[in-house]
Amino acid sequence: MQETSFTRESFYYQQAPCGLISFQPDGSIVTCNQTMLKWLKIGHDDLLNRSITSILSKGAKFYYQMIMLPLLNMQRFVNEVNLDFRNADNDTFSCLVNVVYVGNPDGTESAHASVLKIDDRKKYEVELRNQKNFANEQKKRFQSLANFIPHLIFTTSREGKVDFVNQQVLTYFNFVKDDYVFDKIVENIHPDDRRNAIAKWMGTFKSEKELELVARLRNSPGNYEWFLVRLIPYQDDAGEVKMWFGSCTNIQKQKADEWNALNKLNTRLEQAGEIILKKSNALREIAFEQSHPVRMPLTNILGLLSIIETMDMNDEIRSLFGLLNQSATQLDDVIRKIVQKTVEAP
Amino acid sequence: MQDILRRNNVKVIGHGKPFMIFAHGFGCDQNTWRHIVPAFEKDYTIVLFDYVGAGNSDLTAYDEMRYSNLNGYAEDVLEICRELKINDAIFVGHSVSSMIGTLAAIAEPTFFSKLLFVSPSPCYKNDNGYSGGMESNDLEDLLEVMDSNYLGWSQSMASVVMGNADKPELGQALANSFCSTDPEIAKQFARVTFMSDTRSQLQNLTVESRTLQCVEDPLAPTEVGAYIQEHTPENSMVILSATGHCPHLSSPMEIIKQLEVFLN
Repeated sequence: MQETSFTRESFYYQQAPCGLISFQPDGSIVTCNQTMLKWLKIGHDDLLNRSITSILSKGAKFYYQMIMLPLLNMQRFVNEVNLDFRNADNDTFSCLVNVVYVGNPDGTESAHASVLKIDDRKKYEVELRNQKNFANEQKKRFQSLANFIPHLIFTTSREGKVDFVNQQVLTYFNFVKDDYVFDKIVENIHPDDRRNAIAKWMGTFKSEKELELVARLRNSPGNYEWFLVRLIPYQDDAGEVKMWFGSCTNIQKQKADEWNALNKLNTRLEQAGEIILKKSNALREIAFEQSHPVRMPLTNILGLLSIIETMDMNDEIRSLFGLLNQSATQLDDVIRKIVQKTVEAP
Repeated sequence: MQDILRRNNVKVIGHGKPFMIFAHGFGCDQNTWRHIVPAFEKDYTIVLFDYVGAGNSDLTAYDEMRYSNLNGYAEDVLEICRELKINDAIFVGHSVSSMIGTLAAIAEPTFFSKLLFVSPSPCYKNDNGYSGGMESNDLEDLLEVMDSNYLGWSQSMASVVMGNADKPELGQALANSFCSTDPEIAKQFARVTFMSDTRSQLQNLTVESRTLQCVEDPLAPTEVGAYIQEHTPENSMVILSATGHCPHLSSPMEIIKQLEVFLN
């Protein structure tokens, strides 16, 4: 019964669905099961006393020496380490390895490793890693491009958390690394523009519509400059917003040009106004001065007309007199109005 | 000013007069010296630290430009020495830290009295008759294994807490140190380490040094130890009976004994 049990255990050990291999703390192999030998394509006796590193790939050998062995020494076991083994045909196969140190009756220790072949899973892992590397590469390219662009470029999460800024942002605000949190950025918006900017910023993420606003931002020396801030959503194939791309374009020069143009226009208008005023004054003086010499003979005419009116006149003469008197009176009204206007004018 | 001691998670223990600085190698942190330190903390002031990116260092202090070669790491060592006003220290460096210590000692020789190199290499790549141990594509293989094992690291280290129920502080420290290590920084450090070539600098080292060379070290073959001895003034070499690349972990007593011999 004892022998049957031993044989069965031995059979399980030899034919286990995983490789089992035991080695000394110095790495020399003590024993190994049939499964592992089959994978290594090597005989049991040929493997004995060889170093465990001799059946590992080159990269795995360095990893074992530098990382796995120190770990084993410190904690007496290592779990789920991925190592590539090399068989007698020089082909490699990927495995997940658990190792534990166990004390022997004589006081020494041996390391016992279980080795699980994961070639298929490894292929998926490699593919996933390739995709991850590709994504990282794409991200680096975007960041390089963003750093090349002279504008301030940033990205945010779907909710609006700033998660990337280009070098120009760090330089402009004198930020270091993770300084670009929302509060820090808000501090650098001009107090007069801040409220409006925050309201629009928040509203954009709720409405998921593009944002465009103009605000003054403070640069590292402490001066404010005008910027055009734009934010556009990036949507996936299903139309769901995944993130936002943002840019701040410095429009300080444009604003300054607008101010300069406005100032020039104002100056010209003032100059034109002064000219008009001067001309108006001159005309007023002329009118005021000339109205008196013109009015003097008219006054005489009107006086003479009032004398003539008392004289006998036939009908024809009286008719002419009426016309003359009417014209003189109208002329007198015109001159009075001119004088009045020159007095009333500012 | 940046807090250098916080940046490098510097720990000062012991009360002896001379300073003894322990510098970990690639893939480890200051915990790697835990078998060695107790033997010296009575007679020395021990300085332990983590390179930026490893252990409990300040990950935000990682500067890709500064740490694009070993000089940046050597500058960290010098800054720690200045901060602690260290002179005539014993510097013990494992693996790549041996060359980091060399660069630091060339720059400021008075900071150090002796350098002990554990499994050092001035150049890991094979090059025109020089046997560094690595071919050019081996680094990419290593980086791939590191990539595929980042999750494995975290899982391994997290389970330490449960595996060391009687020493929770140890488990927690290890879990924290490995889990907080940025895999991208670890990869960058691997590149810097294995692409480094400080062979031309060896002749400029004036501080006495000794190499502890393991047999069967795939990362630093015996020829490398011999190369260092041949090209470095005041360097001697001891071949250890320990194998592998981390004798301070696999054979700590042998390292302690050799360090005592070197100091005396």
